[in-house]
Amino acid sequence: MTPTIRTAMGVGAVYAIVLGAALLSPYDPATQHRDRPLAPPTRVHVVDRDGRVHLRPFVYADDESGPTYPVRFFAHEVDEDGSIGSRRLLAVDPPAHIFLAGTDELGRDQFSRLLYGGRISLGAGVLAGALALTIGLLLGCVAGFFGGWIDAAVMAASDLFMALPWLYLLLAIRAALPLDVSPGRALASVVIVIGIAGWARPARLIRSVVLSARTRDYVTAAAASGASRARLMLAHVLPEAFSVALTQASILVPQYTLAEITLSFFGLGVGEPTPSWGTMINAMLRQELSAAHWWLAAPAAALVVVSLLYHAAADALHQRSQVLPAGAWR
Amino acid sequence: MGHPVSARFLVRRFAQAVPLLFVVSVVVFLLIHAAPGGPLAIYLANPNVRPADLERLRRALGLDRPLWQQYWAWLWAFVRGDWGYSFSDGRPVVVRIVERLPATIELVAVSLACALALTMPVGVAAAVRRGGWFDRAAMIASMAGVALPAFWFGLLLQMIFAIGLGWLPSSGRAAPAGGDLVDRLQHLVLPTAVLAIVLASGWSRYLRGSMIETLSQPFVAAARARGVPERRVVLRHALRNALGPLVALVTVDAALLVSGAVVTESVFAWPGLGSLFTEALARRDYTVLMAMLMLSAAAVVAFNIAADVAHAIVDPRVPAS
Repeated sequence: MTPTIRTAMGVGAVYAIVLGAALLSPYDPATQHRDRPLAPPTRVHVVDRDGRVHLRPFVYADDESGPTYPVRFFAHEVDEDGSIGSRRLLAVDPPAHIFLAGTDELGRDQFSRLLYGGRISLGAGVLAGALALTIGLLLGCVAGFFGGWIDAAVMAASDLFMALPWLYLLLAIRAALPLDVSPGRALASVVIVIGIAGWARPARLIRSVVLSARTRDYVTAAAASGASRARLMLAHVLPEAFSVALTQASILVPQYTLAEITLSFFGLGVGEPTPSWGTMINAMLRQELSAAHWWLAAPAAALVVVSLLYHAAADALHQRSQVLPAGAWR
Repeated sequence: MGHPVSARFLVRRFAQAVPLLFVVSVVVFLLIHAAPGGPLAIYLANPNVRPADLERLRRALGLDRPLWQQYWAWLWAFVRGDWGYSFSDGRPVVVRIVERLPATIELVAVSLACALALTMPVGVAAAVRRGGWFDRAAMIASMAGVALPAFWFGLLLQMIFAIGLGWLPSSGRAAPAGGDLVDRLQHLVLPTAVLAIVLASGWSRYLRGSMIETLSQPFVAAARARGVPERRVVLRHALRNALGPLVALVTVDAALLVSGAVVTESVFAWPGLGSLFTEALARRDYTVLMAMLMLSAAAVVAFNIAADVAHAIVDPRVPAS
């Protein structure tokens, strides 16, 4: 397996996990288990205190002297009051719980919040990256292909966009929006602002690819044999631009994921109770808490895994990593 | 041979920067004023402010005039150096910025120096022994530095050195009572470490890449063939040629000196321009926000020009005339 395929599979697995959050998480991310704040991760056993081996893993409710509660797979979640919830990969009957990564100070299951939060943070990165690349691809192709005043206008606009202090603007724009907007609209506004902020760099790269592709012999030959401008653009120039767009995506998506996490770290992302990795990491700022409850560091650890995966994928895609000025996100 | 950087080059670049900053100011002004509630949103929720007071305030601040008139008034005052008064404490914006500037410059300047001191040996050593254990270790470490957000490192260092070991203060620029040199240095260590790690990670990867490229060029082989000592080949021949792009990158990042390191400053409650911005944001302090946005845009533009100049000085093959 080539490094590209290996890392792509890793990234794909992470996406599959967060997309499957509804099934894979044992609880709703907003459900507060009021009697279990800051509970450590639940220990899942296969050997009980009498030394008997159980084929089906089980948990204890409170202390390890009480009855055992088997872990049920693909079963319906049962609430404390006996009502039947949705189907989950892992479920245990009350009063036992299965908190794979412990709970936060409101008694919410951290593992479920990690999965749902990952959906927001990673999803925002992908959507914003797609938006920036679409605009960049479109304007870059148009500028490179038509040249003249169109090219000059697009390049002037990209100069402007690259000169804007984006981290500051992003914070200012998001802060200007009302804080009580619905999670969906908050996410959409974050994605749109980040996406629009980022089109300039890919547009410039794609423009230069289009410019050089336009003078290739086979393109000249196609033009000489009577291919229309639209056909030249779609069949001959665009495919070359796509490979640049792909490597750009491997740089932009991690950056924009980081942007969402930074925004929500500042309390300017998607609001509570919807989780995002940024808000979860921000909770670690209350250090007296996180020093004594190590499982609160789970989102920070998850971020490490995903970041390294992203970076390995980008490295594999262009071998020599491309460094952007660090200033923007510091 | 003339000087590598001609006066005409500088004049042209600055002449291009003026319309650019003008458009930036229009965009920023519109974005800020498009916000629902406007500059007085903060008072709307305050039960002590009566509607009549609000109306009086609107007129006094000129917020009842058309937007373009407000913009011209702001722009005209701004270019004359009258940046208005802070909405949150009534003092001149210029004063608020100037009093925060030393903290930011202190933090960023020390971090840039540390990052550079780290980058040069790491980047060169990794390139010279490419694929060796040092190269691999340095590249894994720097990958983490590039891939993880600054606040992540901030929290980690606070957790270890301030909370866990108790060696260093976790935030602020000086102890409330103290403030002697040792205390100031202790406060400086952690935020500097975060900024320096993040900057050095990107830079050393870059330097390694351009060193590897330079070392593979014919003139390096020629120098070796002439019997030039390896140490001299690496440091005098290769490094000098690989330095240009790095100098440009460092100069671009140095814009942090004027714009403030928002993330690092707010994690460590460092009283610099970055924290001024986040405070202004929380209180919807429009005059401070506008000034900070323009200041950082100008910093980005100015340091980009400086980067071109620095690059041309280090590497005369790069045109800057």
